[in-house]
Amino acid sequence: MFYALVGLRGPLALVLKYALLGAADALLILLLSAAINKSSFIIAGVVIATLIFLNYSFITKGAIPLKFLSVGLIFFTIFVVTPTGYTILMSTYNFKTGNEIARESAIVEILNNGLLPDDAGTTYDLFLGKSSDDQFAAILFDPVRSQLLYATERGTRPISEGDITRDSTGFIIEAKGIVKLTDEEFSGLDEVITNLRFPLGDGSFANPQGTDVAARLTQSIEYNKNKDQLINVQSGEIFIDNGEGNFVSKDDPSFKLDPGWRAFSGMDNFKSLFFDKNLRDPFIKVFIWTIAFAFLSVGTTFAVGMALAIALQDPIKFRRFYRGFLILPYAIPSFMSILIWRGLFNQEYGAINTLFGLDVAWFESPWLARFAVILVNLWLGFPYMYLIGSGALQAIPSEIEEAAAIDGASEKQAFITIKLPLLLQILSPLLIASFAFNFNNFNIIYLLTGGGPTNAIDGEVAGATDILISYAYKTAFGTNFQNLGLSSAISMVMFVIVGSMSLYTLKKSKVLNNL
Amino acid sequence: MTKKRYGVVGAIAAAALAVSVMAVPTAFAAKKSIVIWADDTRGPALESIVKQMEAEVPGYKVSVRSFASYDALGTAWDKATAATGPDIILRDGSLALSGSKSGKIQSLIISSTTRAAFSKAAIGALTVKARVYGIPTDADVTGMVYNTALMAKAPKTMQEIYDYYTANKTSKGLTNGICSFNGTWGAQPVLTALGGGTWGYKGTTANLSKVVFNSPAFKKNAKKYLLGADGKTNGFFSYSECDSAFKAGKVPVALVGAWNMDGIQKAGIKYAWGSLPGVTEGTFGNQWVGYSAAYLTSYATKHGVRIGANQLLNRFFASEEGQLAFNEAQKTPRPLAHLSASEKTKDLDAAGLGQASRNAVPQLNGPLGDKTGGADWYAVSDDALKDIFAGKDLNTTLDKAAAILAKNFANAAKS
Repeated sequence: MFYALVGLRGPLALVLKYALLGAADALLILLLSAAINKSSFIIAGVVIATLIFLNYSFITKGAIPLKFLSVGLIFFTIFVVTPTGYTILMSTYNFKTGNEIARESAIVEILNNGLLPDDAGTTYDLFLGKSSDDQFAAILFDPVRSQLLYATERGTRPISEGDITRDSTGFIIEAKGIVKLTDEEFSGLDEVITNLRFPLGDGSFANPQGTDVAARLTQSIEYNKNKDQLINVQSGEIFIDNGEGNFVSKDDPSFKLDPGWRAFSGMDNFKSLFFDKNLRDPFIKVFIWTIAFAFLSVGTTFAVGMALAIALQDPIKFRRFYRGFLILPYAIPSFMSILIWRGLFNQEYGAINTLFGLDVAWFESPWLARFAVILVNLWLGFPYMYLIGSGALQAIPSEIEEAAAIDGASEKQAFITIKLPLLLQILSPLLIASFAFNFNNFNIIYLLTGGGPTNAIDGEVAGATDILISYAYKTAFGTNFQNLGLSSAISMVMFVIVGSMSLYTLKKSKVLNNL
Repeated sequence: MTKKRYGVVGAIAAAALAVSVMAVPTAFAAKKSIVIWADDTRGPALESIVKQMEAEVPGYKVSVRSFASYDALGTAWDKATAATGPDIILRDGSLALSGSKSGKIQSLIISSTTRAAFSKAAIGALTVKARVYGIPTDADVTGMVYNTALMAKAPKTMQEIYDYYTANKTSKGLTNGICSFNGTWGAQPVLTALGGGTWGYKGTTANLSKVVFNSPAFKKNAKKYLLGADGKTNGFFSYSECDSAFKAGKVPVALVGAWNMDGIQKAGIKYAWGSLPGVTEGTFGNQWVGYSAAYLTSYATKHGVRIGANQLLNRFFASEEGQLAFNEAQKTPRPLAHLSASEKTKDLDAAGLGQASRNAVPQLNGPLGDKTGGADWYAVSDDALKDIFAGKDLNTTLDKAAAILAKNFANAAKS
């Protein structure tokens, strides 16, 4: 059946099948290898599951329907289910600038920030290698004090110039009891060497900062694993986990150590979205405009598209030319069209102001900017509505119209009471899809107005033309300080709204009844 | 051959292909590489001097990834992970603050010699909570250029530019008297020249408790120089559309950055460098000076190249030779952060901007980026000027803006 459908049978079909399967396996194994190399074990697990599923679908005989669905299911899982699941997960985290990395990494960075050089900023010339017992050993030379030290991870002891050999520039090239690491050995051991500490006896230690330089450092902040606390060993100040992704001072919880980590916050992002006035007010404003924008976009494009479809339904002169001409806006990449429109609306040099002799700052006034957005979206969207409208009109049998005429209905009555309801029945899934598309129509907002205008002086946070998706983007990536957890929560709200509206409308229109 | 045999042969072939692909990563296993991310101007310059950089880190390979634009680099950095992120990134000074907070960049241990190679302002701009987070590479500053075909000599007062503009507006088709290529950030000299600015100073130290955005002097001078009889902009000063207007020879004086010079030269504009004069002779407007830097990322540790990357920063980016080589390789010469390298720069534009940077005041990213009052300085200053130019009451607008800034600065001063 499967091979019959694709028109191939016999040995050639089998060879082709296994060749394609082999290529897919090869690609997945390459991905698996890369994922394991990068220690991305979740991705590796997903790749293994995909490999098993794909091979099971195509090698076994008992899973014929899977042969049709498996590839689609894999892509659906990767590109729809996974991002949605990840967004849901992130909406329950305190995930923003300052709280981005894992807890373990945050502790490492805090400890790294707690490494302090001494007041003199002492540095040593470093000759690093391995001793006869294969342990790291080094010669440290302090040029200010002319002090030479033999150092291991157990401690240091003074040595004399006789124990080393220098070149003509004073650079140490040999040392007794140490085989110097080659450049390649050094780079290969970089992550080990970076953590080397040669104790200097007073609590400080020498730590390599380059292939031939070390710095004298002290660890001012230490981590107590048993108590899960950080302690400033100089001041005695204790820092505890505040449960929100930061270590804070026990005495003054407003004092945080940077960086923090991504911490689970439950429904906090959703709560702040609905109960924090600073977030709720702009969110509601943006939400209202998003609904209005989506409805107006679908309504205007549908009205203009259908009007043109009806006008060009009957044979008229140059009909082909008009039809070709009308779909031109659809043929041009939308981002180009939007940028051209943006230029046309320019106050000083734009064609619109020049042609009409105006001096209108289109993108400075909230209502004019909204008008411009709707107008440009109408330009971009009406050819689609025209095309589907033309198709739908042709799908309605002409007999219905003739029967209505015989029953005495006028053309207008026949259209309003018979054709339009039929058209809406046929087109409702596409109108819903169009609504959902415009609800998330990021491109037109971002490229045309950037979500603006926004007046910071009047305390506005969101722009007048910002829709939820552009607002979520601004929240996530708009400035140096980002809030990805909150942005994920906004995305979830959008997902629920669009999903619910689509489901409700599809149920009402009964278009899924026959599936 | 039977169908079953074809199946077996096919399965073996598939497995063989799969195994051969597995061998590919082993065969092409990469040497330990220090990865640098940079924008569209710095990146290609670094690519051309990779060998020089590699000479400073024997045993390591250096690879540079150039991004299509400065914004594209920022977007990629925001999305970077341990698997994809760089070991060194070249970015503006504000990354010291956000990167230290996020833990994506690491503080550096720099020697006293390295510290002494830069001005205190340059090191200070990259210092957060007493830790240095980057090696300053170049100064981000704007300077004043004047179109010598329009104005033969550098103007001595603001009134001189104003008079020139009003006298020649129609005859020479001037769109503005002064314009800023870089928005309100680049317009800072105009605001300070008119008695305004952002915060006050106690000596040379910023006084964050004193907001001067709405100072009486600025209110008075803004009404005189920036607004017409109808209360809207008189066109004398613009901080938008400057690029095309100045290149078309329609503006006598412009505030420009190093990155704008290539376009101006290509447009064939003859220009000279100067300092934007104030209302009275001998006074001048002050621009911010920020410092771009090379930062060590926390990914370098995860990639096992921390020491190599740190050495590259100290030996190449922090050295006179390194900064001069980097500067020479760039098509857009910027004023160098390294003091002795800066003195050896021969490029006239870099020298002009270098002069501007010496007259400039430090750009404090903390208070400028603070949003406690509802919006940061960038949005507030932009909207305030926009509102004033559109005809909203000047005093009310400036006072509202100053109130927001006061809250921002008070919060920034605390932290």
